[in-house]
Amino acid sequence: MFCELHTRSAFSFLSSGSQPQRLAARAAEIGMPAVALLDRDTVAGAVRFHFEAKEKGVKPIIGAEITMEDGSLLPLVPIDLEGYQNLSRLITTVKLRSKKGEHSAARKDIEEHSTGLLCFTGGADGFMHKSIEAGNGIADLAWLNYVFEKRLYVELQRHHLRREEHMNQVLLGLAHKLRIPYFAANGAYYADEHDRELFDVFTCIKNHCTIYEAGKLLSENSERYLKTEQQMSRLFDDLPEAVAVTSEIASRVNFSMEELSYSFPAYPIPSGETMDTVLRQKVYQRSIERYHESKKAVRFQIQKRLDKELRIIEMKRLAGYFLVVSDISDFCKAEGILSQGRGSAANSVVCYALGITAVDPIEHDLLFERFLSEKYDRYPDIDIDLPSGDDREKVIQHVYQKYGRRGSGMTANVISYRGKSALREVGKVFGFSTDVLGRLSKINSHYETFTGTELNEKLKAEGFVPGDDIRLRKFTEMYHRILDYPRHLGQHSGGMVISLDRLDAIVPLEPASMEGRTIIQWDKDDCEALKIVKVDLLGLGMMAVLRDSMALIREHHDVDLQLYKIPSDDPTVYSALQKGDTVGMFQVESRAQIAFLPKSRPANFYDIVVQVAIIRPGPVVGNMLSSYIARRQGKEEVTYPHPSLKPILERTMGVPLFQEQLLKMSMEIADFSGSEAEELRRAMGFKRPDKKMDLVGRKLREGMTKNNIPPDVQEKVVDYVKAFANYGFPESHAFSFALLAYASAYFILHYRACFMAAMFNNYPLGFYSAATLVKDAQRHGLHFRSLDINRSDYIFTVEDVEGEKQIRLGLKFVRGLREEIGRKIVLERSRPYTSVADLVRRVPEINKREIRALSVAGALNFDNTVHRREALWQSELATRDRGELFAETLDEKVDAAFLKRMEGLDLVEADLRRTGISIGKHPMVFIRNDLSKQGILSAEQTRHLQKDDIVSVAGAVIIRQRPMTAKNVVFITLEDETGHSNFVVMPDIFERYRAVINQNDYLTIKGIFEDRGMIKAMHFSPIFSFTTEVVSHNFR
Amino acid sequence: MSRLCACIVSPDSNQDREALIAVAHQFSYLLETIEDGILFDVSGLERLIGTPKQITEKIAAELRKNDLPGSVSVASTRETATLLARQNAAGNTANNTSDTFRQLPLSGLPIERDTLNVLRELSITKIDDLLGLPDEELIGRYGQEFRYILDIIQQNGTALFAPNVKNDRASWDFSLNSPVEDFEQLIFLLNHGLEKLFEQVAHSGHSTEHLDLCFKLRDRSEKAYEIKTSFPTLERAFWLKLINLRVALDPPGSEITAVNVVAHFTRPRPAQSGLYAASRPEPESLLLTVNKLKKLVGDENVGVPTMLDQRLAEAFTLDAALIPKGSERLDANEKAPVIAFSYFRPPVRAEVLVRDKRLVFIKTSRFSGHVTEYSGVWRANSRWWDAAWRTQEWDIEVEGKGVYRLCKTNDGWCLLGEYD
Repeated sequence: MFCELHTRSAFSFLSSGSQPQRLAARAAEIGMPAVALLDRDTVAGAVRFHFEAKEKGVKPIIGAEITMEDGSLLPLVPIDLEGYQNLSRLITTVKLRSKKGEHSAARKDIEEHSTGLLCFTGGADGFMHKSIEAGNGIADLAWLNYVFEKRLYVELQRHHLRREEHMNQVLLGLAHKLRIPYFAANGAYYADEHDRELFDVFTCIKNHCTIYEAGKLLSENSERYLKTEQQMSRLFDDLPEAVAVTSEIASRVNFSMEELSYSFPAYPIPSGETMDTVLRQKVYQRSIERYHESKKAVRFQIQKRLDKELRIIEMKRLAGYFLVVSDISDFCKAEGILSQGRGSAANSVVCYALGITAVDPIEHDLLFERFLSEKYDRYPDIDIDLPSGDDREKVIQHVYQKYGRRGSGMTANVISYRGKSALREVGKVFGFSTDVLGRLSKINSHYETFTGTELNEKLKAEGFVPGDDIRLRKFTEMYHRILDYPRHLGQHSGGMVISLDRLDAIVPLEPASMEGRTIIQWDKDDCEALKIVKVDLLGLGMMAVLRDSMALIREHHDVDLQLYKIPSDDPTVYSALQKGDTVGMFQVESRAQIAFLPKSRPANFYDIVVQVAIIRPGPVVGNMLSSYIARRQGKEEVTYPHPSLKPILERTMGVPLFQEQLLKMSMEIADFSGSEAEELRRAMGFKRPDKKMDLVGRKLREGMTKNNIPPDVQEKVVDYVKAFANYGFPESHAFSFALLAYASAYFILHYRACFMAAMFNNYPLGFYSAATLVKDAQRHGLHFRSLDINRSDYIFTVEDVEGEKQIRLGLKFVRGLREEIGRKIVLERSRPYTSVADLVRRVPEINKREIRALSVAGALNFDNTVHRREALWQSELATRDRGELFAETLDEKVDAAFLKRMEGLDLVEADLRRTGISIGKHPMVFIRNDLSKQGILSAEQTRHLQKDDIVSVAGAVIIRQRPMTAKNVVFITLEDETGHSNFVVMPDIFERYRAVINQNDYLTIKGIFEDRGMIKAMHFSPIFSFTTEVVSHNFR
Repeated sequence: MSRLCACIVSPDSNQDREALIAVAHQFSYLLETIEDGILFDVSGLERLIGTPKQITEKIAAELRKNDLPGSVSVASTRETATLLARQNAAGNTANNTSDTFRQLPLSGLPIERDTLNVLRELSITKIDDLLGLPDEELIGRYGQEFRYILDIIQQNGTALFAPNVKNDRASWDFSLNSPVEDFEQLIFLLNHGLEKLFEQVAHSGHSTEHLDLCFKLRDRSEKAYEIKTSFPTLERAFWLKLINLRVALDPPGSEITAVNVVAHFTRPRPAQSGLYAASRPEPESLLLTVNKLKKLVGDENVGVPTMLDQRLAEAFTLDAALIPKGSERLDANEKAPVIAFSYFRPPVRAEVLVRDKRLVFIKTSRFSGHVTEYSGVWRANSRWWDAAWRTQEWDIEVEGKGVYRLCKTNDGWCLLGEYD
């Protein structure tokens, strides 16, 4: 039997036309017993290839082509585990010592890592071909034979090309001479013949040329596909033994990916102890501290719950994992880094006791089974939220330091061709001009992606006729085919894998684009498939805000707040939430949340948990949102799809809102096992779930039919599951987020100045621009103090002004001012700066642009002794190089009477231009009189409208949104000096005014008031009175 | 008499450059082309035409007459004229009042972007605003270089014209009293024309290797020929022969009513390449031979073979426009020997006997015989994105005949050519 021993997948990036799964599937289709995947310097596609091949009954062989110093490739295939470990370490060694993309292996590297590996001589780009061309054939083959004794094979490839035969004859001659066995391979770059087209497209992308310019870079024919035994036998009818030997070589390979026994690192423990006993002691000790203020009823349950959890942890041999995560958490505490566990860990009392999570599972009735279960064959998932930025990096570097560069790594993120990137790249290949590419990109923008018929219709609407022009037809065909193909390996946002042994024995590591980081070649799904536990160290801007807020609150209010000690029943928090007055609050500040909050009226912590989870595509598409609201408002009776589901859905009024509920439902009424439920969870989380979801949907129906569940209920349950495939939120995540949402609300309502200063210091984050945050804070009575070179710090600070806490703007918002200069200005301020010349003298590194920026931003007014334009005029003199002789003339008094003082709108616009925020009047104030005369309303006036009132409202556009769940309806929010007004724009109206809406920062919108507090927009006109740009939340 | 400068700024200055120069030539011989138009000296025209305003209108009228878009201005300095003209580049209008000048935005002045931004922040956006600032304050901040800007806005500009319009060609025209059907009849006339033309070329110290020949035809159409050599020459007889051969290959098709010949200037060829230089055939004779061959076998069948960087069944072409240099043989000698292949034109149809999937016998109109050896099948295909093609070929050795390339198409077997 013929086995293809040399294939390459799309994970060789731009060098193959097929996904690894397709190669495996095709091998099965043609009855090939084994197939080898040898991607270039990577095993990134190996896991998915392995599992697909196993499922299809084909023996998967994993290897890699190693790039040598001369640019040739040396194919290596592990025979056993040791061989795989050597291959992994070889790739790691070669990659880690070079810059990204510039690696190559020396002969010494091959010699050091050769044990357990088969070596092939390769194809046209192989090591031996290059060597023969250079006249070193016999010497190099002898070297390979020495290094890979009895494990070296000469590879013969035939693709119906004249020029190959000469090389094959030379190789055969050498093989006979050195008595090295040879085999036939097709060096498949794609699974099917027609995939050659995609391979050609990738060749063009790789060489930055169009298909029309590519010329001889393209392949000569389409023969590099997976061929059947008959085809290969015909090709090698003169050398039948070369085909026959392939199955023998395949049988030499005894390594399987499943052999990779990953184990979490052992935690250092004192002698005589086990990790279980150490964990038990630590948990009990910490639980006393954690629960000593808890209610008696809670304390009563602790012991029983901890015993149960620890028993399961011990049974699953996960004590080491918990100790490692706890160690990271302890490191955070020791370093003063705010951290909070997220994910299903929130269900664990052990995690709460260890300080990993901040939500008490007993108080909130969270079940441990959702985290770890005897039934589930699933590894725990602990995500740790950290303040984004330096703190998070510090924790990541701590892990690298503790477990070694080769013992830990970030998980990869496979970046695939998606709508816009696919359109742009394929468009370039087909030679579309920048202008046409722009038009094509608009069709598939980041907020609407079309494929199939829909794309063709869009193309037609844009003036393209795909059917008529072969170029467009091929372009659209290639665009569809390239979707989901891997483009490059990126870095996962925070997933880290840590290993007991060297991690590079399990998976190759490579340098990430970010300095000081290494990534493994597998993504999170690959890790999960191989049961590799990862710890997610996620950066969250709000964590940094809370950290900074707590420090400011401690400093200015003398109150020491902890995340898990904030009172969870504060009425002011619930009152603000119920009014939708939530700008700046974590997760509940978006336009949709603000619209929804007055209807859902959260009244306790669990309501916030629901609130965080409900504005997601899953619940919206599945009508769970509307149903939940109706039930909450008493407009709809609380019913259950089936009586057996009551215990699962009771908490959410009969409506499934969380992923866990769906899993539980499947187990309850379709008898899903733990692993089947896990499969369902994976299908729901899959990026393109259709295929997997159909399979799970069928299983679900079968299970329900077996349990005599009526068809209408079956339909409903399947609909819920399908809706969740659009993205539903796990309850455990929601709990952790709800805690942050609550904390942010609590801080903002009780310590607004401290919280907002922290917000600005960690900006950008959240939904709104800094300008909008300032205006909202001002409407809530917070006062800001202007930029002042003698008073402002680099960051925003809180000042006590006659008992009132006010915010002093920081220099960091001055656009163009380098951070080191901003900090130096503050550092050098032992005595006040007296003039621009004084500033230049004391901070000589400051450049002309920075002084200009400070002048226009109003930081150089020196207690109003000069106005901004005078300061700027002085700056122009002060920054001029005049040599030592005339240095003193810097201090000359400048008469600038000919300059007009900056006032009114000029001043506001200068603020916005130079700092992005203005603490003065809102720009709309300056045209309010004119607007009033025209009968155009302010946001405040829209609150008193009646249904069907026709009104015009004007303001700055701060939100343009087109949620994918809203069927092309666009939502717009305008801001003026009185607040926000919200508009809904129907698709036909949006298309009519698309340019006006997208290209103008200030608009007058005429529309009809609807009872949902929204104005249905009918007409748009731009306002041209302003010159500054508005930073808005656009189509994200 | 005061100095006066005129400026025409055109939205299509590149396209209309020749026409603009022609218009400017009507008013002045001191011309300077600028990026977006043309500047010319109109000092002294007051006596002939009148006030600057009247001069402006006269130039604008000339533009209109020639259907040229553009803006005209006349001012005492070249900078002022340019700034004013640029203000309304698209309109065929005149604008040269002092008030208009003072209201111009600063963006037209050659001020650094940074400085311009500062001035904008200071609410100084027009020339009038800038004139309001003390000179010494500005120079104190922006240095003596800023004096240049001040001179512009105070209209003290002293910059002179830098004439940059140069001829790069010469032409000869002749309109016939009665149409001529046969080009041969024009040879005598053309000979005279070339004599005149080459006199002009030589007078300017140049030679030519590129002639454009254009016939106006009786049916009001035109027939143009571009004739190039690989060396400059003013040898009339040679050019005449070349023209004759070229026209014979592609005759005008209608009676000729007028002739225009343009000679593009180039540097003359050195008279002697070296005292001891090996004698070579005259390039003129090589070129004439090639053209005679073209006349015999057709333009498309003579040329320099060039490999194409494309995936095609026959990835080479004959470049008829490429002129052989005579060095090709030298290049060929440096490379390793290759097997030459002669293409059959058209391919030779064949009947092939296949037994047990092996090629056994071949019969063609030229020969027939047993296939003693063969290799293949060699497959190639490409251009799936527009004109897909696919070939299947074998190399066969026919007993006692030679080695051939055999291919199979939908129409059957054929021989593509023979290995040398």
